[in-house]
This record gives sequence, C-alpha cells and structure tokens, in this order.
Amino acid sequence: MTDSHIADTGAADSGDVAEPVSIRIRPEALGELPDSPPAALRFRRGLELRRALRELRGTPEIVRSLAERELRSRYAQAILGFTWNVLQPLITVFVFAAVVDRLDAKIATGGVPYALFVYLGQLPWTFFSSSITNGSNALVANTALLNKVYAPREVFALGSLLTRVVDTLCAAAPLALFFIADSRAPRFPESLWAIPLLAILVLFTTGLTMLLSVLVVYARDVRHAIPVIVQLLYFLTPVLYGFDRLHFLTPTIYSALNPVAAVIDGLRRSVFFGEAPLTGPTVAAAISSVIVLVLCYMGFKHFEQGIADVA
Amino acid sequence: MLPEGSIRVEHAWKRFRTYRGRRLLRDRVENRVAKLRGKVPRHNPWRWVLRDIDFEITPGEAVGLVGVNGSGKSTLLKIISQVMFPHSGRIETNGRVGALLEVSSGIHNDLTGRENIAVYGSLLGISRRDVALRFDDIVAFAELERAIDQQVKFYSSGMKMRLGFSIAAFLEPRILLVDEVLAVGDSAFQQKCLDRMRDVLTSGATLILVSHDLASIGAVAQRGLWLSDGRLAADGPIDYVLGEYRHKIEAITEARSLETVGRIQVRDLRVEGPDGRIPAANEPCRISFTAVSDFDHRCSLFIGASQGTSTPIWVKRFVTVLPTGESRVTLALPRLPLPFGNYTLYFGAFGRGRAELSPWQPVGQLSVTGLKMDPTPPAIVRLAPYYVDGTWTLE
Repeated sequence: MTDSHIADTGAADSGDVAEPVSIRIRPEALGELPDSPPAALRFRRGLELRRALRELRGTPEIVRSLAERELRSRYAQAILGFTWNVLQPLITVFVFAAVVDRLDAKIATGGVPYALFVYLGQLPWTFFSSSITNGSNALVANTALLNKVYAPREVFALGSLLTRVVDTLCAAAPLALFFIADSRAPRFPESLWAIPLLAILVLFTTGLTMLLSVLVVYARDVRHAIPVIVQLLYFLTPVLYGFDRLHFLTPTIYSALNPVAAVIDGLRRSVFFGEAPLTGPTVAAAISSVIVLVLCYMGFKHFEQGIADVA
Repeated sequence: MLPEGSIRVEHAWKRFRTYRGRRLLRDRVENRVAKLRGKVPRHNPWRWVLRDIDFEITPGEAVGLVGVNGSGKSTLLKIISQVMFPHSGRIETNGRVGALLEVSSGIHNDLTGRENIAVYGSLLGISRRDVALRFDDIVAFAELERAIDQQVKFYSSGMKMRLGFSIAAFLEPRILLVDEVLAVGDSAFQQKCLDRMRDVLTSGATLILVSHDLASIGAVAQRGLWLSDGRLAADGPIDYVLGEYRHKIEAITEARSLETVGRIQVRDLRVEGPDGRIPAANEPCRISFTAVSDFDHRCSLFIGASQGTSTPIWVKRFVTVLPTGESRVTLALPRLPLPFGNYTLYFGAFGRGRAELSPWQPVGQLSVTGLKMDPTPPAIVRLAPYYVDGTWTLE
C-alpha cells in the first residue's frame, strides 16, 4: 500500500459529500467597496406565489400549535384552569347587573332580563377587546422565536386570535343557563344571523390586531395606549345599553366607524326578538371591516420587514 | 430554481441604526428641525454590518463561518434564515431551514418538553404526525427521558440547550444553521452534537456552523467563510480559511505585544531550526532570547507555544537565578513537537511563591515548516496541533 493510494480513498470519501470548493480571496473587495450599495441592488421582497402557497399550507398547524401553547401555558399553574374562561365574563356581568339594579337606571331591553341582555353584548365585546389587548402583544412576546426561526409572521397574531375564539366559545356556555333561567329560547332560524355578524366581528378584529401587533414592535407606546382606548370604546359600544342610546351620528355611519356596535345590535335583534339585523348598519359594518382588514394587512406586510431589526 | 438544500447570497448589504438609546419624540422633533434649518443631523444614524456578501452554497456542503465578535456572522445567518431582510441584494434558499441561532431558541418556559417539541416542530413547518414519529429519537438524543413532562423552566440550562439542539437537528432540515451552541453542554454532549451534525450532513443536508471553537469547525466543515468587519474576507477550503483567520488573530496579538512588560524583559528573540533554517516539525529547534532583569531574581522562566491564544500547547519551565542586567537564555528542543503552521511564543517569569515578575505574554512568532498532522476521523476534534512521530507495521 502506498501513501498515494490512501490519500486517494480519503479524497473520494469527502468528495461524494460535496464538490471541492475553489479558493476565493477577495482582497480587491477590501477597501474598494462603495460606502453604500448601488440603488439597483435594493432589496425588494417579491411576492413569490409558490412560496406563499407553500407557507400557507403549514400555517393552520402553526396557528393551532401557538394557540394551544398559549392556552396551556396560561393555565399551567392555575388551580381552576379553564373555568376562569366562564367565571370572568359571568362575574363582570353580575357586577354590572347589580350596579344597574342599585342605580335604578332605566335601560330599555325590550323585556329581556338585563343580565342576559348585557351578557350577549359582553361576549362579542370581550372577544374584540381581549383580542386587541392580548393579540397586539403577540409579536413582542415571541421576539425570541421570530428572531431565530422563520415562520410567516401572521401566525402569531392569528394564534392569539384563535385562543380568544376558544375563550369566547367557553364563555358562551353560560348563555344557555341564562336562557333556561328565564324560560325563553333563542329565536330560530333568525339566530343564524349570528354567523355573518360574527364573521364581520372576526374580520374587523383580525385586521386591527395584525396591525397593532406589528406597531407595538416599533413603538411600545401603542401597548400603553390600547387599554385606555379600549376602555373608552367600551362606552361607545352598546354593551351595557341598547344601540338606540348612542345617537351621535346616524346608525349607519356609526356602524361604519364602529362595526362592533352593529354586530352587537344585530345579535340582540335576531337572537332575542327574531328580527333581521338593520340593513344599513350591518352592510356598513361589513364593508368597513373588510376595508380595515385589507388596509391593516397591507400595513402589517409593510412593517413586518423590519421586525427583526428593531425587536 | 435552486436545487434543494442550496443557499445563494448575492451582493447582500445590511445596515442597522447605531443610536438606539433614546427614541423619544423630542429627539425626532429636534432632528427634523435641524434638517429643516439645513443643518446636518448630529451623526450618521446608520452602520453597515454586512457589505457586499456574495457566495453560493451547494447542497450537502458543510460551511464554517468565522470572524471576530461583531463581524456580522449572526446577522448573516438571520438573513439566510429569512428572519431578517437585507437592505440590498438577493437571498435565495431552497429547502426547510432548521436554525439554531442561539441556545434554546424557541423554547417556551411554561410548557413541558413534550409540548415544546410539538410547537417548535410545527413552527419549522413539520406536521404533528411527523413530529410524533421522531419524538422518541429527539427525547433520547437530548437525554431527557425523565424530564420530558416537566415544565422547561425547571430544566437546567444544559438541558434546555440539549432539547433545543435535538429538536432542530432531528426534524430533518435541508439546511441547518448552528450558531455558537457548542459553547454550552458538557464535552460528551458536544461530541454527540458533532456526530449528529455529521449524520445530518451525510443525509445530504447543508450545514452552516458558526463557532469560535476553530477546532470544532475544522473537524466538521469542508469550506470556510471568513467575515471581517461585515465583508467576506475569504472563502475557500476550511483549512485555508482557518489558517488565514488564525494568522490575522496572531497578527493582532503580535501588534499588541511589541514590548514585554514586567521586571524581566525579553529582547532579541530568535527561533532556529537545524543550521539556522526555519524550524521544522519533528526536528531540533533552538529558542533563544536576551533576558533583561532589574535584580538578581531566583525565578522560574516559562516559554510556551500556542495558536495565538494564551492557552499553550506546551510549556517548558526553567528554574534559575537570573542576574541583574542582560543574560542570554537558550531553550534547545531536540525535537519540535509542532506540525506545520504558525504559532505564537509566550513568555512569563515568576518568583518565589508564585509572585509575578513578568506576566504570561506573547513575545514572538513561531513558523514551523515540514510535516503536517494526520487528519482526524470525521467529526472528531483535536484538542491542539501536536506532532507525534511514529511508524505503522502490518503483519
């Protein structure tokens, strides 16, 4: 056996892993580089359809995992666990009902018990407000992750939204008790209006949450402002009272500005009284929430590019 | 379309803001006003961290990325993993990227190890079923059988690191990016990681490894990229690039040590091989210098050789009484145990009771010609270059 023979087999071993690389020293590049890159090289993120589709395929699974993670970790060391989902809105509503009762405030509910009246408004509102408050933190809370692993950034806000959907569904369970206690039933089939109405709510909430989540990464001020604004909006939305109490603008214009108002009003009309939701406000709310979703998503995509630089 | 597992970086540039301290509205207003008045804002807010990076990696290549701290290594990895967008240029990758950019990236403290594996897997784009299939392998590799159903916050940092590495490595990425993860973990696990990286490589995946442990890089990578101040200073076979990089570090070390410090000074250092030639591996070698002492010292003189750092490969001690003034000291080695390469000579002098007369410091270069070391088995790291003479026989 000769040395050269051994050397040959060694080379063949490493050779099948990869081709041999050529030496490239770049002394010419050192020192003669312009201060900034030529404008023609500017990076533009192209929309690659194939890539977008491939990413989309994995998205539901990631969203589900993230939601599961949030739900699991939220109640990881709580004794009552998931029960809190039901307890929280219940307690809130009873407090309000007790306060309203004491104040002897006259709120027209059309014969529906006040607690039930509020609870049906409180559910969509809680979904909206807690989605905004928590979802806006979705990116910031996951900076460790999104700085290291590539995943479409939408998933973080969507994951947070999904947990809110689960929460809201849990919180809807006591609704049945309210109905039974008052020996009434949701009107059918008018209650099916809830589906398009909730769709409006989800679109609107998704749009806002996306944009807010990315804005918080750039300016944490947003995070401090959100609770205040949400608190204000609470009284500008017909949760504790009927839509007829809010008469700054016409209902249609008002619903375009605050689609949640139209959603809650529509839910009450259809579920309690078997009426169709008001056409003008509902259409306005639908159009408005689609516009909000599109604009917010565009904003999200724009700001998304710099997240890793500032996070 | 690139073949699966390849990476192409074309003229990538990236910049960051330098001044991140205060970002209050007041500062912005001040800057805007200064601009309106035609004044230049106080400082250029941008700093280029990557300049004109240009290379292509073919599927199955193992690439070591080296460079001093702040040279842009991590930024480059982030751009490759698409976490960050470049300012200019184009980045293309094809294939699932498994990134391990820091210890326990993506590990959530409130979840158990089991839950983390599921979530992290789906983030990397793997279906739950596939994750479940590899679950046992991941747990066994991470040696976490007993702790897998505990919350990760009760893990030690070593356990977290093992979990993170195992997830990234076992989810069969086409491209694996590993950034300085080998720094933690005991040496047994480090060796396991190196073995695993080799397995990933033999399965045809592409690997980029960032580490300051040049020995590990040398053992795993075939190709080296050297980033210096945001530029690609060298790109070539790993031995060549590591050689260049070490040379640069040595040059920095040397520049720092023009004068010896301490009560015993070293002057006129000479290193000679046989007949005054350049020293060669496994041949006689004489190291001589003039020691200038400020007093009659009863002391130990140390001479050692290293790869640029202060950790020597070997040390010789000379217990003597050094008279005041100049005296010539010679260390004769019948056989220089260093293979071909560049080394740094270190000197130190200590008196009774470990009292420091001259601190341990670099005093000169040692270039060795001649024989090279035998290669190590794949993915096995050699502690330090050391030449051992020997002959094989087969009967």
